[in-house]
Amino acid sequence: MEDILISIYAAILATTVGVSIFAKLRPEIIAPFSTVMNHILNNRKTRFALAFSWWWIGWHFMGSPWPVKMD
Amino acid sequence: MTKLKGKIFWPVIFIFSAYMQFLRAAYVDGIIDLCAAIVCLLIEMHSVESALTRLRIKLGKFIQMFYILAFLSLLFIDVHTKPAFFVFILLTPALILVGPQNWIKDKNPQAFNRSKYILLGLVIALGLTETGSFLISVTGINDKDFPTISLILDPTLHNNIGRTILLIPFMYIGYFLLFSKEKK
Repeated sequence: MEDILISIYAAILATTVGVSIFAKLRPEIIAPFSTVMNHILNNRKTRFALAFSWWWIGWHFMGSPWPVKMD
Repeated sequence: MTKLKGKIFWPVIFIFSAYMQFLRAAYVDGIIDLCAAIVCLLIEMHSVESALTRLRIKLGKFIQMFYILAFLSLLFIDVHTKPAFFVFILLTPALILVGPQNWIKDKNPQAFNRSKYILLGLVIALGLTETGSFLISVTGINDKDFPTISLILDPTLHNNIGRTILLIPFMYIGYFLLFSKEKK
């Protein structure tokens, strides 16, 4: 089951990278993610919330003195 | 109704996230999430917004330099240590000072919508997978077969090369979120 779950995460990552590359090459079909993000970030609260979420990911993975439990 | 939804969407998300953190007994993370929910509500107030604008004008360049130096230092610091803890705690003010962006007109609304829904689909897929794994492992049903992203990445983050590979895209995304401006 662990392998299936890791495959799902890998598939999501691969799709994101693939779509990003495709969007860069053919912006008339799929707009680049940066364009969508710039549009979304127009709202101050969404911008704070996304920036906070980004900060928390870094905090959780690197900054927090309470690491995840590894059995 | 739409305006109300816009006001409560992010606070609700952060309160839910705080609840999830309390479930796994990560009380500090839970309190941080609750603070984020409060800031989301405060940002709506005109007086808070104008105070932040003044601070942004005065401290914008300083924060940008600080951001780059602080995160570059993380390349040489192991994760879950006191220096790494301080880097993240000190960066919090930068998040409060993020500036507003100008509206970017879509030249091709169809391509824009396609991209928007693909992005949304990927975020939902990731969110469901992670939340599912999180709930299964935190309730103790099965934490070996359903690892969260944290459990998968933690060994890589303790390695200098692994940390560098993950830190560079993280810094890039953060720089975009905090300092990107409209292209003229």
